[in-house]
Amino acid sequence: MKLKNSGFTLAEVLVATVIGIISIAAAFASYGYFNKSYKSISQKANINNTAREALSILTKELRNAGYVDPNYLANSPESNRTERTVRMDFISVSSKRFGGKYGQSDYLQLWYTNSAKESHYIVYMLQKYQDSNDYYLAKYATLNRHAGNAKMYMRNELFIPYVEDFQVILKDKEGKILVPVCNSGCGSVEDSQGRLTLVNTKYGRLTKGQANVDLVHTAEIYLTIRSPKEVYTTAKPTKIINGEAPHGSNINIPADKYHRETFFVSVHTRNLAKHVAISEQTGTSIGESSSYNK
Amino acid sequence: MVKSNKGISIIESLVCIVIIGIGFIAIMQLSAFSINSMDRATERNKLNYLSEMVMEDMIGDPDNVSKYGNFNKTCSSGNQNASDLHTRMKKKWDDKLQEKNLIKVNNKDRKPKCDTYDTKKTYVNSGTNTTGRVNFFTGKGKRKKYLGVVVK
Repeated sequence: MKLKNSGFTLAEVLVATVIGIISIAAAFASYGYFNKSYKSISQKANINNTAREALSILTKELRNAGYVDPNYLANSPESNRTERTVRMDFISVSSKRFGGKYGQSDYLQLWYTNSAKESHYIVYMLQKYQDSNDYYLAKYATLNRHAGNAKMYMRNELFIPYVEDFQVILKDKEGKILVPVCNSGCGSVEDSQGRLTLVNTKYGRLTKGQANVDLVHTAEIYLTIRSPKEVYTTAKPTKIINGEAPHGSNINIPADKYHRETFFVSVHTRNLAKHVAISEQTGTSIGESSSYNK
Repeated sequence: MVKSNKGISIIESLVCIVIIGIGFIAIMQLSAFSINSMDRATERNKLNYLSEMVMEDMIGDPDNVSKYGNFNKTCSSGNQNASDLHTRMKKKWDDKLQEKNLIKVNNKDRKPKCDTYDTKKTYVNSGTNTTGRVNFFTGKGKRKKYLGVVVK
């Protein structure tokens, strides 16, 4: 019996080795590529989801801002509340206070009632993480702030992580930027615009910062969120311009590998400008009067 | 008996590698597609907020809402003379839809991709109730966003 037991030739082994190495290299390269794209997708998805959830809450609160339940002043657990004192709290924006990493973000306070006995005082501001130089948008919420049993049910809660810029720009019914609209925690921007000038209103003497609440027609929010982890392989600088100068921001970020997205929402603050007066004058409900909230 | 112990030829192994390579390319395209999908999702999310902005502006000026219709833009940004509120609002929509003054990278506006079919229109219908509507087309007119409300 003749048995042919020939093995591989050297050339065959070499070719097989080369092919094997190429296919292993391809597998490694594709692993790296998939890993990178997974990181990129998950970071982008993270930003998108966070923004969608947070902005839907924020827009709802801006729409509610300034709503006073018709029975609230008579039934409020907060002591000595009058239309004059509640109006001051409706909405307040302080420009570049608690401005975050780049010193340009805003500080937003708003107030509304959701029943005859419950009012909510909400604050948004940037706060620094304890273990890094990054900032998050923090939320504070207090139930019946001026009552003896006031309850702060949210204290420095992480509302949106890794926020680079948070701009709140209020506009009047002419579409012009309204500054100052600020009652407390105001900064030099509001002061330079005559915040403390006293003006006569139908609610008595108020500062200009308090009286301007009546004129707020639209609130615009710019929110720039950074990815929690690095996304890109090469570093590149980023320039962020949110809102019209001089009340918006203009930030130059040195080269890095993070991904950033800016989201913009514009809300008609239907519970601010003069709704109570119009409703009283016409005797009709707000929805029936064609000239409400002008 | 002659026993042949023949393995696979180099041609066969090369063909095999080419087939596997094609498979890899397909998977890589899938990955690229998923990145694109994520970008589109973000763009849609932003467009949802922009269409809400248009509706909110209409609701905020109910007496003049009829003037908020007939907005029709594709990719250009106009320079309307902003003399009254509705013109100013349309100018604002124009800017925001072009993502002007939003985010800049290397000093360039990061604009969404815009094609000649990507029209952005508003309509206002007066009747017993006045209704406002937006039709936003993106992705070469394939992705459509409609939103309508009763203004008054």
